[in-house]
Amino acid sequence: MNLLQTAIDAVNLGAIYALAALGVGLIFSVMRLINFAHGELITAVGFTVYALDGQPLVIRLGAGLLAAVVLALLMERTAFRPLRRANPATLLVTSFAVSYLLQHLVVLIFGARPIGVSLLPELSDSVAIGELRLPLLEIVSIAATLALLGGMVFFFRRRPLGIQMRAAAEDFTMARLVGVKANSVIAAAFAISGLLAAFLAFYQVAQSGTISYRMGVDVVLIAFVAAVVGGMGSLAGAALGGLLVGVTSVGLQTFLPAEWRPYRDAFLFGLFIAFLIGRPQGLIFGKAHRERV
Amino acid sequence: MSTLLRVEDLHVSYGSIAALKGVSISIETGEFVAVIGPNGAGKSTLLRTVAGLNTPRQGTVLMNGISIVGRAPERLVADGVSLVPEGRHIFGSLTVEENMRLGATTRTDGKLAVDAGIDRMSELFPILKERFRQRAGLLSGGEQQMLAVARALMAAPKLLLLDEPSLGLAPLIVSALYETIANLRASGLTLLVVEQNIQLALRAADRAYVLDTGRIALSGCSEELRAMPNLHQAYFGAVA
Repeated sequence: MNLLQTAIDAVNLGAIYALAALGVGLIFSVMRLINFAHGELITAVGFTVYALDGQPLVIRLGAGLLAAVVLALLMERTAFRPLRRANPATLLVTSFAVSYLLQHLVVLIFGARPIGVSLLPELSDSVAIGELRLPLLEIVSIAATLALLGGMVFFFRRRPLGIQMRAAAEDFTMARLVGVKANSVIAAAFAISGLLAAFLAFYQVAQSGTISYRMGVDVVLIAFVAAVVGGMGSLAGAALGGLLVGVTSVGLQTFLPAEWRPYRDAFLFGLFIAFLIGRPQGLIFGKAHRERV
Repeated sequence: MSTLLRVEDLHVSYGSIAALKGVSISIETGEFVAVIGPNGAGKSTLLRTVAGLNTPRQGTVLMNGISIVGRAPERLVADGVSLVPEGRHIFGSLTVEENMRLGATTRTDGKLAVDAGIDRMSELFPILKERFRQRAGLLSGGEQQMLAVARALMAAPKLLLLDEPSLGLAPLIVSALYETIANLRASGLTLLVVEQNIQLALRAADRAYVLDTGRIALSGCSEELRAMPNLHQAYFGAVA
């Protein structure tokens, strides 16, 4: 039973990380931008939900979602679009600048201390299924993330815009040469990354009950590791990498000797460094290694 | 006949290196024009500039008398200019059918017309029909070139630009490809083809321009150029 519990935890964290990695990987595949400001989308959701404390849940979640999508589109339009032809290093530095700017904007308005927020307290109960006790939040989160990932698969496989985005992810210049609108595809990628960040933020706030100006930083770091492990430039790879990192993390937490557990992340990142030494291109070979013309 | 494309005094540079130094060409509607010349002459740059990938430093590109300089590549596809770049650049992780349907991205005449286009492509390129659901990356080089052409045709272009379509393909495949190109031409498509294989280009095209180090060195109808005994030595070094 304990093993089943662990497996469910692993799937949950894996799916959460898959969302994070997909959000980061999507932007990387269409414009070779490693967007460190992705974390601030999560922060924006956290503070929106906090500012609307006391309002009906639908409004808080809806506003949080909207905040992430609008902020993502705004970032693209103001910071990254003017630099689209710049080299990846310039883009990377710009994303750091955007990230720090937003973090300190939050500090300016709300201060630097973590703030307690109550979101979805109903989900903090557990349900007993036989001998198994599952936190309600975990069940809802697994259902929501799997539904969202399913929606993503449908979108990328069946919808014209989704297929255009896959084409743009593989070869951006060629996509333009068949008539794919560069601006639309990139804006859509940012909007989707905002949507994914919002779901991540809902889970994180509900689970931890706190927000702070640095709340998005750790998740985004893990998301990058996951995207690299999956194979930068491949969307399926990013999702797979996220799943792998989440499952490994829960596995280490469970099976490491108790006195080693505080150093779990050292083992986690150590494992992935070893993995990347053996397979630097990641799980799925993306097109990251091809020059963008 | 009317002039579909007119390129006037085109200068294009990559940084400080000038690739085109005042190139002027024109193509009538329904014509098949070849651009030949040695490596590094600027042939690809010419096509890329017409397709909107490069911005000229000087000079203009007119389509039906209207300047198209500065238009985005995706806009030019909608305006009827499709480029099949050198190296084919098919979307390897997508299926053959997805590749073809992507070609119709800018079409506004509805799903039925696109489906009819797909049917026409499977007639033109029967090899592709059997592989509709396969990932395009699994196709052979020749099949990938066919797919790249089919994908470009799905946009229903007025002007098709082909960059080195014969490069790296077996002779049998090349003649099949050029047969298809001849059919397209017969159906009224205007073609501008860059080719290193001079004999091939001069057999298929109506007219040709010889591009050498960024300038038009010579132009004329294909028979004329074919009849010139020293064409090879003059522009291509050793006899091919």
